[in-house]
Formats: sequence, C-alpha cells, structure tokens
Amino acid sequence: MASTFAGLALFNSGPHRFVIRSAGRLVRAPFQTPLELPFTINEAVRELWIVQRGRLIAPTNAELMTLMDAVQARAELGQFGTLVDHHGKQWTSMTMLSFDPDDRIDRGRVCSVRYRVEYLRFGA
Amino acid sequence: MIWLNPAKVTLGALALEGVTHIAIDREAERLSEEWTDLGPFAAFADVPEQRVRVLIVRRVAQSETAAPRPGDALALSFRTSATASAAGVRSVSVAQLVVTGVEHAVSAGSSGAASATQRIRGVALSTTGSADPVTETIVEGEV
Repeated sequence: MASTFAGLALFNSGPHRFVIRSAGRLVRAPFQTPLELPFTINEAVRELWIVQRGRLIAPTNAELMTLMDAVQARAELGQFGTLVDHHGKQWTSMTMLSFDPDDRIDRGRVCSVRYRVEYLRFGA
Repeated sequence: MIWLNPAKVTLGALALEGVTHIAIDREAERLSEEWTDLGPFAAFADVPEQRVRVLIVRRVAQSETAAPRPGDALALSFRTSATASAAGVRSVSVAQLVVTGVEHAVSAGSSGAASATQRIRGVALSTTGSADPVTETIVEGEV
C-alpha cells in the first residue's frame, strides 16, 4: 500500500523505507558524589524519531521539482500529522522535521533524487 | 557497437587508413538502485551517468609521426555498410572524441616482414549532456 503523511501521498513516486531510529526513555547520566552512590534520573518518554529514506522519481526535471517543492513545503510547515507506512503501521502526532535531498539529481531514463526525511513526535 | 572495415575514417584533420575496426562500448559510470520495505528485490534502477568509450584499430603500413595525443578533442567520422554496394550506407560520427591513449604494436609476419598495429582509445563527449555522443545516419552514395 502507499504511504502517507498527514493524509498526503508525497513520496509514492518512488521507493522509500521507514525505520524507527530512537524510542524509549530519556534519562540523565548517572550522578555520583563522594557521599552518594551513582544514580540515574528517569526524565520522560523519549521523543519518537523516525527516518525515511527513498527516491522521488518523475519523467521530467520540472515534474521532479514539483514533487520536491511539495515535500519542502510540508517540512517547513511544521504541522502534526499521522505517518502511515507501506504496511499500514501508523504513528500519530508526527512532525516532518527535515527533508534532505542527496547532493545531486540523477537524470537518466527518468529524473530522480535520493532523499532523507526525519519525523519527530515532539515532547512525547 | 562494432564496425568492421569502416571507410573514410577521419579523426580531426587526420584521414586514417587501414582501419580494421571501430568499437564503441557503453558502460554505467554510476548505477542508482533502490529497494523497498516490501521485499528483497530492487524496485528501481537507472543509469544517470554513463561513459562511451571508442576504440579505433588500424594497420600501419609505413612510418608515421602525426598520431593524435592524449587530451586531444577531435571529431571522428566514418562510413560503413553491410555490403560494398551503395545501398544502406551509414555515416557514423562522434562530435568530440577525447583521446585517452595511442598504442602501437609491431610483430613479425611469416614472411619476416614486420607489421604494425595502432590502437587509438578515447571517450566520446555529448554536445549537450543529454544528446547521444554517437550519431548514425543513412546516407546516399558509395561507401
């Protein structure tokens, strides 16, 4: 199935993959004083961090730019949305934090560009 | 692509005699491949950068000094046909061939006379970056 973010199918022109890069608890490093044993402070749930890597593909350079502009606009917007992967797995309240295209656009049979997108659930 | 016994071979201002064959090899300089979260097989592949190599091989009948040099950017053109007739004569040209090497080999024939071979290697350049550096057109007339 197609992936979506905030109900938008921004990336289905090409293959892409998702991976959870960070989840769990946020703790402070062990403290130790001459009078106390080491102890760790359990602060909060760590912010969920998901990374997407893939490739945007279009038949022409202009159409590829349109795809890139749409993703850039979403990344700059900073709104929350639900991220849905190819298997229907949903992560709610995610924000698209960054969109980093590769250092070149590939112009072969088609026009395409590799990218990396990061999503974060703020203050989870 | 390979052409055997091409005629009217010119490289820059040089008219090359005794050319036995011209080969044009194409290879991917960079391959883009992508996989998905859905399975083990590649879902995308493309060749956004490719290199076109040219090899000219000719027999040398007498001493020569006017050989092309590495770095020279020269136009290559020749004619070829499946038969020696005027039908289906093709003109092949490379607008800019950058010479990367010129080699010679000498061997003694069965009669004791030496024979020499010259191999000219080069990279074909596109005029625009998107146009194929090798153009082939059907022409009228003799080979």
